[in-house]
Amino acid sequence: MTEQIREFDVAVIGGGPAGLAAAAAAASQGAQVALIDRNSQLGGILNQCIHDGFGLHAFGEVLTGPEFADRYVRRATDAGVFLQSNTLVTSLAPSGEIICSRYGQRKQLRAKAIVLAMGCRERTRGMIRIPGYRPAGVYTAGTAQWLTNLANVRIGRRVVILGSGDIGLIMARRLTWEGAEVIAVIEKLPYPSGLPRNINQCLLDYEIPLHLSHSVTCIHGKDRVERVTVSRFDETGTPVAGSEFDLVCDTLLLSVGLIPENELSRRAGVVLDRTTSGATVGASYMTNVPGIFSCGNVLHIHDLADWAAEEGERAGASAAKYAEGIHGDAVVEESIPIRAGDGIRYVIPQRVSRSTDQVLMSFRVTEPRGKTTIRAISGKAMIGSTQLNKAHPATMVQLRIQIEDLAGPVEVTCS
Amino acid sequence: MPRLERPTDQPIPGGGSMFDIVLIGAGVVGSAIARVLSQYRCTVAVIEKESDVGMAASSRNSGVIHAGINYAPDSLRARFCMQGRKLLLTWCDELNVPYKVCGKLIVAPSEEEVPGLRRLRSTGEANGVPGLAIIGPNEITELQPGIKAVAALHVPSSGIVSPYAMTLAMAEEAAVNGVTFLLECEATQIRPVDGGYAVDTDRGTVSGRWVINSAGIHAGHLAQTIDPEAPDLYPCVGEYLILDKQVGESLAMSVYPAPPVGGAGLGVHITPTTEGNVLLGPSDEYVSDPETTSCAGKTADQLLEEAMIMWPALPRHLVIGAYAGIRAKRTSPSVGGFGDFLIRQTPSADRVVHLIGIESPGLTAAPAIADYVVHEILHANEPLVQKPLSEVVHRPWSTRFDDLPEEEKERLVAKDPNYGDIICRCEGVTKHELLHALNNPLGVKTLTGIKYRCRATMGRCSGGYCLPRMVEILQEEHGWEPDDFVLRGPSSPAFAGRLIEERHD
Ligand SMILES: Cc1cc2nc3c(=O)[nH]c(=O)nc-3n(C[C@H](O)[C@H](O)[C@H](O)COP(=O)(O)OP(=O)(O)OC[C@H]3O[C@@H](n4cnc5c(N)ncnc54)[C@H](O)[C@@H]3O)c2cc1C
Repeated sequence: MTEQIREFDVAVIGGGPAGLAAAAAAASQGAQVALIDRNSQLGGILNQCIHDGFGLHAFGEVLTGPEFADRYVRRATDAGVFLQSNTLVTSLAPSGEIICSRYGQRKQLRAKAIVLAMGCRERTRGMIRIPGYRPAGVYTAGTAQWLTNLANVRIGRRVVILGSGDIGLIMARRLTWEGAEVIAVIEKLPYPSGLPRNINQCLLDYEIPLHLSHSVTCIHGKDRVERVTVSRFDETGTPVAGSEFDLVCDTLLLSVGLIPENELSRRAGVVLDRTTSGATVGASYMTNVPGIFSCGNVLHIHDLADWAAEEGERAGASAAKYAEGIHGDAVVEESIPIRAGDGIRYVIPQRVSRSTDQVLMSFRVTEPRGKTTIRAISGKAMIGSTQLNKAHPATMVQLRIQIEDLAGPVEVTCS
Repeated sequence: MPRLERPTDQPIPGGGSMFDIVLIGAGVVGSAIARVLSQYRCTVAVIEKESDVGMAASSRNSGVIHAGINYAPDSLRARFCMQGRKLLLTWCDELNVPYKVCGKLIVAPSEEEVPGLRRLRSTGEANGVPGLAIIGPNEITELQPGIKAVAALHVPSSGIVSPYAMTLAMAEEAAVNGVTFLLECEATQIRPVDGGYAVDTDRGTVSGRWVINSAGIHAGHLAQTIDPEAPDLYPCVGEYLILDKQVGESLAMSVYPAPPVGGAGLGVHITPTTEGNVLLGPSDEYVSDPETTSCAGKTADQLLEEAMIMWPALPRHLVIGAYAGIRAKRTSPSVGGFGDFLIRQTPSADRVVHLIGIESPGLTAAPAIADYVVHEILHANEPLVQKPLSEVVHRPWSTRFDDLPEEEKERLVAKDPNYGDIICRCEGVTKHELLHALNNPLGVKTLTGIKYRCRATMGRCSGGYCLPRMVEILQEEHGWEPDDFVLRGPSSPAFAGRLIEERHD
C-alpha cells in the first residue's frame, strides 16, 4: 500500500444527503469518522438538482439541492468528519476493510463500522427492453440533468419523456425553460409515479401532456432518434392493438425508475431484498453482515432528500454505537421479521430485535388510494396504526411501534 | 462548429498512385488480412464505410470460438474453422486479446434430440475435433449447474473471445505497421484500369493492383459490379440480450440447444463473454434491410423463453442491453440452412478476390481465411517480401486495469496518476484507459469507438455515470465542443450544441 492503513470507528461510503447526515451523526457521538465520495463536490445527486423544494421537512425552509447539500456538508465538517472526495471505493470486505482509488493514489482504510450510502442509479433503456434501434439521443433523465445543468450542453430540441418519475418531471420543466419542446410525458401505469406537486408544477403549469397507461413501443432512427411509437396499455400491461401513434422527436428521456447501487454491498456478502433491491436491515439499519449499515437510496428509493438524510442520521448514530460495542440489532436468525402485508410494497426495516425499545418503520403502498388505514399487527394484536386521507406509492409512510408490544412477526397492512 | 479532425478531412490518395492491395471492408476478416499483409513490403489501403472498423457483424455476434462440429467435413467452413481456431488462439496471445477455452455444452432437453447430438459428434470427429463426449445429467450439472437436459454433447475445445477487441487489435496493429485505413469511405464499384483496378467510392477513386472484397453483407452486390456471376447474399438478423455480470458469475461455459433442422442459425444459446457478461441469442429472421440493427420487443421475450428451457432459473430481471447482428447468408429464406464460404477470384480479373457468405464461424475462421488469401492466392501469384522482424511493430491490446492484481494497480498508479482516477464505475475504467482509447492509431473519436476500446459506457448503467465524466474531461481538458460528441459517426450527434454560448468565455 502506498501509505499506512488508516483506522476509523466509522467509515461512510457515499456523500449524498444520507451519507453526510450519517457521518455527522456518528461524529457528533464522538466517533472517528471518514466519509468517502467519488465526486469532487460532496452532496451527491443534490448538486445537479438546481431547482428548489428541498429542506421543507428538515429545516422548514425551501432550499435548492446545492443549498440543502451545503447544510449537511457543514454539519459533517463541524462534527470533525474526515471528508475524502474524488475518491471511489473499489472494494469493501465484510471485516470493514476498504480499498479506494483516486487520482495518483490507491489507498486502504479500515473501520469498525461501515455505513453504506452509495445512492442509486437509473434504470436504463436496455433494462426495460424498448424495441427498435439504438440511436444517439436516448438518455436517462438524471444523466440529462447533469449534462444540462453542469456541462452546458443541449441534449436535444424535441423531447419525449418516458416515465413520470420525479427527475423526468423536473427535466420536463427545465428543458422547456431552456427552449426545448417537450412533446409529452408517457407513463405506463394508470397513475403518475412522481410526486403530485411535481405533476402540477412541472407539467400542468407548462401544458405538457401526460399520457397515462401508455408506453413507448418502438424507437426509430438508426443514427439519432427520429421518432417514437407510443401505444396504450391495458390493465394487464399489454399494448392495445391499433392504439399506436408516432411522436416526432430527436430525444427520448427515460425516467423509469431508480435502482439502489449495491454492487459493493453484494460483494461484501450483504443480502439484498428482491423488492427494494436494497439491503435487508434491522431496526438499527444493520445489514446481515455485522457492522455494515445501510441508509438512503442505497437501502430503498426515497421520494425526498429530507427523508434520506433523516434515515442517514439514525443509521450513523447506530454505527457509532456499534463501534463502541453497543449493538442495536441481533444476528438475523435471532430477529423478529417485519413483513409487508396486503396493499404494502415493502417495509424497512425487515426485522427487529428485542435489544431496542422501539422501531420506526418506513414503507410504501402498492397503488394510489383514498382514505386509508395502516395497521401494524403482531401475533393477533394491533400494535400500531395510522390514518391517511390519501396514500400514493410515490409518498413514503412511516409508523413507530414499541418492541414490548411484539408477540411474534410484525405485518403491516392497509385497508 | 465541430473542431475535431474527421476522417473525411483527409483527402483520399488519388491521382496516379496505385496501392499494391486495396481491401474493401474492415470487419474481422478484412482486419485479419490487413494484419497479415502489414508484415510484408507492400502498400495496402483499407476502405471502410463506417467511422470505425468492426462495426458490422464482427462486433455483433456470439463471440464463440467454434470447435468445428457443425460443418460438413469437406467444406471451407470446416477447414477454416479448424485452422482458424488454432491460429486465433495464437493471435490472441500475440495481441493480448481476451479469450477463454471454456468449452461448450450442446444440450438435449428430451430424448428426441439425442440422435442430433450423435450426428454432431460424428461430424466433429470427422473434422478432427478432440475430446467430444455425450454426457448425462449428473455430469452436465458438474460442468454447469442449473442446466436442465437429459443429455449433452460436451465440446471442450470450444471457447469465447472478445470479437470487437480482436478486430480492433488486428486493425490497429496493421495501421501502426503502415496499412492505410480510409474510414467513412464507401466503395460503390470495382472496375479494371491500366495496371490494376479502380475502386470508386463516395469520396473518390482508390486504385490497386489487387482488390480484395471483404465487405460482409455487401460483398455480393459489390462483387457483381465487376463479376456478374457472383452470388447474392441474404441478410438475416440475429438479436441478442446482454445480462449483468452478476449472471456471469454462475455461467462457466456456453450452452447451446441442438441446432434446429433447416434453421438459419445455431439456435438460441447462452454464452459467457470474456468480460463476464452473459449473452442470450441470437434469433434468426431474414430481413430486407442489410443495415438494420433494430431489435423487436417480442423477440426479447422469445429469447428469454428459449434460453429458460435450458436454464430454468435464469435471472431474467438482470437484462441490461440488447443488440442485433446481420448474417451474410448465401441461402435464401426459402432454402434456409447454411451455405459454404465462397472465396472467388473474378474469372475475367483474377486479381479481384471476393470473400462471399462469410457467416458463422467467420470470427473463428478469420485468421485462417487471411492466411489463405495472402499466402495461397496473393503470394502464390507474385511472391511477397517479408519485412525484417525488427520493422514489424507489435501493438498488444491493453489488459484492463480492473482485471489486474492490487500490487500491479498500485505500480501503475505510481507511474501515471490517471490510473487512479476511475471514470466508469460499472467497468472500472480509468482515465488513463480513456485517454489511451482516444489516442488510437486509427484516429477514431466516436463514443462507440471509445466504448469498444476501453469499455466506458458499456456496463450496466449504459453510461449514466461515465458519459458525464467523459464529457467533462473532453470539454474541459481537451477542448471538445458539444458537436464533437458523436455516437457512431457524423450522422449520430450526441448533443444539439451548447446550451448557453456566453458561458464559454
Ligand atoms: C448473429 C451472428 C452470430 C455469430 N456468431 C459467431 C460466433 O459465435 N463465432 C464465429 O466464429 N462467428 C460468428 N458469426 C460470424 C461472424 O461474426 C462473421 O462471419 C464475421 O464477423 C464476418 O466478418 P466480415 O469481416 O466478413 O464481415 P463484417 O464484420 O460484416 O465486415 C464487413 C465490413 O465491410 C464494410 N463494408 C461493407 N460494404 C462496404 C462498402 N461498400 N465500402 C466500404 N466498406 C464496406 C462494413 O462496414 C464492415 O465493416 C456470427 C455472425 C452473426 C451475424
